[in-house]
Amino acid sequence: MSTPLLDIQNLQVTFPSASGEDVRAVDGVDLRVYPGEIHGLVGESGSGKSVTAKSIMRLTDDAHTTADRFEYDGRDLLAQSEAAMRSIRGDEVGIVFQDALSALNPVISVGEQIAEVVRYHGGAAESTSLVSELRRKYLTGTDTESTSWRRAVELLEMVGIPDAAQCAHNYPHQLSGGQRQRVMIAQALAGDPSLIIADEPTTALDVTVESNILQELKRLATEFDIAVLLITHDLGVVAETCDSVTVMYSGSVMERAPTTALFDTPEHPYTRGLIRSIPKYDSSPGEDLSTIPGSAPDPTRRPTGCPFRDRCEDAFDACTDPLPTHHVGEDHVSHCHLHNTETPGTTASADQSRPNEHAPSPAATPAAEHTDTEANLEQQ
Amino acid sequence: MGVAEYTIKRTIQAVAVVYVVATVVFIAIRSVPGDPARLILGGDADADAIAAMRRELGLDQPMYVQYFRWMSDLLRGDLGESIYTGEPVIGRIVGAAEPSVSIAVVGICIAMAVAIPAGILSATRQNGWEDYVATLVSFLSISMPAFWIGIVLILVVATRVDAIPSYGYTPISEGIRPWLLNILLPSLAVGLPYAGIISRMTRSSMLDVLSQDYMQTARAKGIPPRAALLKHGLQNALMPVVTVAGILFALLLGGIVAVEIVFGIQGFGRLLIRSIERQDFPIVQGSVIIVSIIFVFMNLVVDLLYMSINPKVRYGGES
Amino acid sequence: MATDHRPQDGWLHTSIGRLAQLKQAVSGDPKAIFGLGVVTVFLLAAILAPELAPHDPMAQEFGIMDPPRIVGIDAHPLGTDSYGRDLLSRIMFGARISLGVSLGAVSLGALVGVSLGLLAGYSGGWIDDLLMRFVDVTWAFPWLLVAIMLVAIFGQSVWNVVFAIAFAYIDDFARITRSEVLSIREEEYIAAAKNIGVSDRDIMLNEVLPNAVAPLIVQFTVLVARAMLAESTLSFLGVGVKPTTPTWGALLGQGRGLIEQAWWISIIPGILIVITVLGINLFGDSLRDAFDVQQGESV
Repeated sequence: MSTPLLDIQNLQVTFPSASGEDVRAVDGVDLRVYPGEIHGLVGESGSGKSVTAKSIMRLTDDAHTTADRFEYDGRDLLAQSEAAMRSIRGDEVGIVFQDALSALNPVISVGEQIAEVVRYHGGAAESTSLVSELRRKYLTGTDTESTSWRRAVELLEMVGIPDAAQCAHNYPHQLSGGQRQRVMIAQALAGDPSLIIADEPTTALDVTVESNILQELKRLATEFDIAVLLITHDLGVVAETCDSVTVMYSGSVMERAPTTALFDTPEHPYTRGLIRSIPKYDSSPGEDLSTIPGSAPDPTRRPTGCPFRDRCEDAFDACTDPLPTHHVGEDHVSHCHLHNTETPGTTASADQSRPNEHAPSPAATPAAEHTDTEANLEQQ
Repeated sequence: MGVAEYTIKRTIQAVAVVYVVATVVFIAIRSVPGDPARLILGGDADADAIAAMRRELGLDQPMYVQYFRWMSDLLRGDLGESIYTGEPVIGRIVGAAEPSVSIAVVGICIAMAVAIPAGILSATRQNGWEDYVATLVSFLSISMPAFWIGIVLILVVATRVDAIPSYGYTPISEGIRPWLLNILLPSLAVGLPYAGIISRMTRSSMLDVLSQDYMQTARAKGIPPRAALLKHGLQNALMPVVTVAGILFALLLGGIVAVEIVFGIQGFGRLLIRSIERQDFPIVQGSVIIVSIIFVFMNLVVDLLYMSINPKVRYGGES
Repeated sequence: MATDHRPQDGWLHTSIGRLAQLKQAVSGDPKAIFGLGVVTVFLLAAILAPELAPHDPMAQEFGIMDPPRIVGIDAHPLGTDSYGRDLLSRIMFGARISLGVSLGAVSLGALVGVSLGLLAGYSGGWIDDLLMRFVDVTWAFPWLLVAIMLVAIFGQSVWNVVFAIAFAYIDDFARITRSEVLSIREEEYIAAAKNIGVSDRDIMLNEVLPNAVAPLIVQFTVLVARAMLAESTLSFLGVGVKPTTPTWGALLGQGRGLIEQAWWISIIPGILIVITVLGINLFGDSLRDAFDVQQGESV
């Protein structure tokens, strides 16, 4: 097993609030992304996925961030100075934000917004001193013969924008939504990163455009061997694009698995509920859509133990205890008390009561230390 | 619509507004109780002389003829003659304009040079002591009438510092330095309230910009904070400020007139006040029209300036 | 530029809500407290001047240019002016006139401006265009010149000052109202209301106006402060009220030549002007924070 490019364990991100009730947006999250893979981070709104992503690059300054391990490329990101982070941002890690219209600067041309990344991260031998940047912005404009500009046009072509040389002179509001998103991707690629964090890059786009963008992203990731952390609420996107997935709910990880495993053998009740609620094209008309009843808990008032227990059909007494880690298979982990058998010696301090007993199914993972009991076969 | 179209449209609008202003002035002046002819000739002129004067002034004609004459005179740049001195009004006003324009220009320059950086500083150090001090000073400056600031400046500065005179005006022709020293206090008096408003506006606009998504993107790209502030943030922050700066020119005018009185400067403001006292109507009405024209076209310039810094206005929507 | 638009459930509810916001704004904010304090003192002095003033502001019977003296039979806490008039009384009555002029001017401007704004915003089309051109013309006239024209024509009086200043503020109110109307007009609950047959006038009064109230109130306060400055400038120049009327600006103007001998005649009214206007401005600013109005609308 190769070493992960991004290795995060037990991440906690807390936002202090004026009214005293701190919001723990991320509560004990593990996240691993391997080089060159596309990893999806799935969850509904409020699950903490965006916060997780932003905290990787330490963009969440007003929050209190702790972790047992918080490493990128072997370096502890929490220990880095702000100056060191600045050289990592854009250079080794690129970010694609959700709403390109508000994430792109309305008064700087699209080409320049890409070119400056090239400049700042050593892709061109041009000065990035404050004076020269300001001169470029307010007086002379960016030299279209310069390395950084040419590279910007190259990148625009690479992400599939037609007539790139002309487009580079345009401003964000002059482009369509899909084009803007491609610009964001180009911007993220400009520093030659090894990881791109894409925060819901296609949520604001309509379906056909979304599909194109995702294809483009996948192609670029493969071609340049870039890892992608793709944050989304859409399982369809995950199925189409990702190699492996982490499922989050209300600040915690519920399950993590390779994509096929997740869809074939989802272990966590929440994952199952999510998959079940995907509308199927072959369902009969008039049939109700399946949903997970209830709504996510208020982050200031999460239930103890498993945050999903108030909506879970299979919740039982042990669910008030902290989440256990259960290894299902190769790189497939689920955090649910249902997986614990009567025998103690599991990886976490879970209590041992269950509503009913069913025939155990074979443990598929070499790392498994106990037999696995499926309590919910009937729920399928 | 393109830049050219917009400019033409606004110019036409500006001309229309000036036209309306001129008409209103025409009506207003004609509403003066009393007879302008009598006023000009003095109290004990006889009836014949008055009648002759009326004919000369064209007051015996029907209103629409007078209006037509008035407008055509206006278009030719003829604003009549001063009742008091007989000089052409335009000449008189232009002759008195240099001090006033100097005060206005220097005042605005000082104001902008101080207010915009102060506003930016306030925003970046929000709630810090810099912000507190800047806010306090801003509020004080917008709460003081310009003439008061002038009086205080004279008492506090001019009486202590020999190099800075406390009254009068030195034309540029006598040298930049003496001119500047003389114009300094009056310009400060006029510019300070203006600066107060601009700095508050800059502050709040900057705060707004700092919370925008694109500033976070800049950070995520690894752009150093000062470059992010000045390259990514500043132009966006200045847009609302530019809009407001034009509208506020009106505030300056009252200040200039009052300050000229305080500092004993023989400028346009003083001319205006004196003309009122002497009931020299051609000068009063000429002043109103000229100031309106200046005002309207200054705002046109500000509009164009805004267009040049806002690409959304300059280049339309999706291509 | 939008405030938080809600379907309004009646004037009473909105007003109570606003009052609560107001109270929250004031408590704990030192500048709001200072502002409110100053405004209150000013209002009291103005309203109660006839009762509280120790002497008749016009009476010229006292010593000429007596310096301030707090105690004693012929004590004049703020001194007397060059005509032998008690300065304290003149100042108190001056507050009255300044208050009257400022409030009157801004109210008048608000009345005309808001009506125009409502009309323009709601009607749209050529009415909107026409009205907005009219508003453009009003701000093309620098208010000072309007005042001067009025005085030149009709003589010095309080009313002319009120009209001149009001004229200058019409466009502020018109613009704010119009933009509020435009943003609310598109809201769906307005379309719903029209569908069930609510009249345009009712919609304007019951839905649009309550939402627009917050920025309008803030603007009102800001402009009252500016009106006071405007009036003092006009009086100082001798282009405002009649010379005997004791507005603070006039007092300042009269005392200017005598600064060497009798500083109190000019300086004290001057300081009072600054403190009062500052108080109103601070109060207005805390109102703006309380109602959460964007700065862009009211400068």
